[in-house]
Amino acid sequence: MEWLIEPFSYSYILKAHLVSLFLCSFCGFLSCFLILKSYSLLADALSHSVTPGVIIAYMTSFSYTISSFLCGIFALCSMALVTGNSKLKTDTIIGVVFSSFFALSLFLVSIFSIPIKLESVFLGDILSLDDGEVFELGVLITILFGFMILSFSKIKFIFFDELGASIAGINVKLYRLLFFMLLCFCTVASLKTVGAILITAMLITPGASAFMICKSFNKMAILAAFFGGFSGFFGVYLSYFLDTYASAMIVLTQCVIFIVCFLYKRLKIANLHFLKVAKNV
Amino acid sequence: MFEFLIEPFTYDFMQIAFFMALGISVVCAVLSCFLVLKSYSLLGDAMSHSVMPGMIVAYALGLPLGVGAFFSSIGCLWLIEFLKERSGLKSDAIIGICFTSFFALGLFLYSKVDSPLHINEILFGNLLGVTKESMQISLTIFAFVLGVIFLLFRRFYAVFFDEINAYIVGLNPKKYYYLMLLILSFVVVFGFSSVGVILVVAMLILPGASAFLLTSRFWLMQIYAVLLSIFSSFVGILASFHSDASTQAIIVITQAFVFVLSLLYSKFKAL
Repeated sequence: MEWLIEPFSYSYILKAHLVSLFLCSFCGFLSCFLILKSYSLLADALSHSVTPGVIIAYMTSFSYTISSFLCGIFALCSMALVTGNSKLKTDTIIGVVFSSFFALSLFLVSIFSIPIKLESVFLGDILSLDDGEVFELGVLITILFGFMILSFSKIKFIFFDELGASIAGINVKLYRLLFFMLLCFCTVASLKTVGAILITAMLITPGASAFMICKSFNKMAILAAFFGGFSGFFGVYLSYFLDTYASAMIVLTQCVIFIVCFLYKRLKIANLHFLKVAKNV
Repeated sequence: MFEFLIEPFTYDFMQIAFFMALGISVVCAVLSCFLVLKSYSLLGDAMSHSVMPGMIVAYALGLPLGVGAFFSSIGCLWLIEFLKERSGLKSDAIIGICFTSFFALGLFLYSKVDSPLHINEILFGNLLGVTKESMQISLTIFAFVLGVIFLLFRRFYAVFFDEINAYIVGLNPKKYYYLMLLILSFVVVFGFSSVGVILVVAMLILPGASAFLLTSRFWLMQIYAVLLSIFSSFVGILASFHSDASTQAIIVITQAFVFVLSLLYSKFKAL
């Protein structure tokens, strides 16, 4: 049995487990909101758009969190700007902005020949977190979680019924802006853990799984946070034994949870149908 | 000045890279006009990310990589359609779930199977490393794809603009959508090895989006998109040769720059 707890004897692996647990559960929590509003692909776009910030941070040895956060905000602003000034569809605009930002980061890396492993930005490198970064992430997640819990009912109101919320006197624009900033912070924080490509999964799959088996939003949020946290922890744990990318294992765990939830839902529907038929007979 | 323009093309590998860039960006431009109209842009994103597991499996089985990549992206599409009908989730969420799961699976297989593929090339492409044979194969496929679109152009046009009308005149819209998606997966499979899974998405969106801003006629939009893509691949090859930066990045940045210009143009025209 000793080998089961072997990963926890290394402090850097233990750290990776904890960071991934909290980060993924927070992402799972956020994913419920994104699922509701079809914002899922915004998360994808945002995760690719923050990468020039990472490169610039390496070049100027400026804080990595701040520069990629600013980059994400810049991308969001340009999306809003293009949306306001053209008749293009939202998904096209999202695609235009994120792919341009991505090309920019590739360009920066190639022209300044920066000694950065670009694939670690895209695929994540959770085992290389140092103490300072863990501390930074911890503070960040606590603040974000605190904010989300304090304003949970308001944000929920806005997401479900914008008009009603504005009539009830909630500043809809402000809260929506805050939510997007939060999303941006969350993306930046996850960049180290799971990498730009698989953040999308963390911000969609737990919410989608919970959506299929819950009817109440509060339950869905709790369940999604739990799914996220579990897959974050278990994914890193598995990756130790299988000797592979932690990000891939986190996402595959979430995928398995999704499949189980989907089957559960199908079975429930089939069961209801069966009961109905039985009653009629 | 003339020398500056001509010098890159005196090298064999630059010529190959130029033809490859031209081929992929033209075929993507033609497709992008259709995709922009129908909000299919992010489907291209999904397909390009989903090629990975198929490629690794194909390598392990000794099959051509293109075959594996093709089946993998078709599998992802099928899964998206399957879940759309049964899960009650919104389509963007389903697309996100499917392609990330495929990509994660691919990443897992990649770390377990000892293949000559390099993750950097899959993600970011390597236009300058394209061999002559693979260029010829890709260009043949692209020519074939363009031929199919050209022959069926009026039908695609009818289906994408007015589904009900197309149905009334006896076309089956579903059939043409699936054909378009099949074509898309062909392009993605043969394109990503040179420009990478992420930038192929850019090429599938940007030219069409810019052309959309410039004109309201569909055939003119096609022509603008193709011209823009030819221009950007030319600029990409020239600028990367003289500045030593990544070719595919410059191509996409040029396209983005033209997008900004056409946005400004459309704004001024409206004033």
